[in-house]
Amino acid sequence: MTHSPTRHFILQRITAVLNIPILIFLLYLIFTIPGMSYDGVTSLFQKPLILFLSLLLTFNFAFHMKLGMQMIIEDYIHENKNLKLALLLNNIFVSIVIIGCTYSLLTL
Amino acid sequence: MVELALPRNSKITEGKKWPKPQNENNIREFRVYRWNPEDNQNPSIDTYYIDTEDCGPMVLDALMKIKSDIDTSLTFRRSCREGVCGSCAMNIDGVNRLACTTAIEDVKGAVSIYPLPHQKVIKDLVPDLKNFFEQHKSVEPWLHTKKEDPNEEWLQSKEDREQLDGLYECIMCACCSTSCPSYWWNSDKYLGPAALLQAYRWIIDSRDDERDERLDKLEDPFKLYRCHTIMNCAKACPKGLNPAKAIASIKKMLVERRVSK
Repeated sequence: MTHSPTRHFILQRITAVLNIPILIFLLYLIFTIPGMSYDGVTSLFQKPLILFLSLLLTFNFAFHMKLGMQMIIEDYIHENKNLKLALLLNNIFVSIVIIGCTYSLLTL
Repeated sequence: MVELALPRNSKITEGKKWPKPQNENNIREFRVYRWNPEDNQNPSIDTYYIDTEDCGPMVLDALMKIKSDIDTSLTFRRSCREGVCGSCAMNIDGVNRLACTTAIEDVKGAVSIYPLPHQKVIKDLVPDLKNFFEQHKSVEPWLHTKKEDPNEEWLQSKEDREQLDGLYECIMCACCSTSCPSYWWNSDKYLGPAALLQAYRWIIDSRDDERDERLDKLEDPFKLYRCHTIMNCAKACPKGLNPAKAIASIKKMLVERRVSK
């Protein structure tokens, strides 16, 4: 359960707005990568700017997803025990996504 | 968890079909929700036929005609008959509105009439609005001042008074709150559009001295932030008010307060 609802509200809006330019970068990747060789892709992700934007994409999308899912869980799950479990699973899932994507990007 | 299916004793059945008048040209069909807590039966939909030549133009006129001429057991609230008291709020043709300001001719086909959605029903078209009015009371809809009482009245400038336009007109009919899905799922904790519109009406009042305290009380994950700007409230309001805008304004005030801290 969020203890600072206004902070949650602000973060949800900030991550949403930030997602717009990041989405443009994602579209760039989607249209660029299919025509490239494996070596080309690995060298692309080794460029500092691309790596930074990819990490930003991972963190921002995942964090925005976590905030949104938290809202939905709080809306629909009322029983305290189930609510806490669902919020915990939401946090674990987002952590796995962030750690997995970050590891993949840094070891590419 | 949210209950998505109705309990067995809430399933609506086909009810009594009252005789259709013969040799009349302007007959309209009314399908009305009926439920009596005393007969242990499931809710049902009764069908009535009204000659619109022999009845006033509004849905409330038809309900009163049914009650006086056809079925005296039909129960509903009504008072002013001119959209001021909010008593006759019900779900007509799938939309929450006032029976007294909804013209029969504006509804196509059979006129279906149900109580306001997702509230406990006391009987027939009468919803239990106890929680709704408790929530209104919880926002303390009266002036909070720290100054000494004036000799005559609390004055405010014309500009300050204009801030209350679009807020003070609320008649507390509950059309907005009961059309809000967030209110359906969390009406025990979420205050709902009507109470929040009232809360904003007092927050923005230039004569009120407890704006911060009022905002503190609303800064809660459920009381305010269950509003997801679905906008059903603005669509349903029979007075043309916009509770979603008032809620957004409260959120904006909370954000500004937090950012400036």
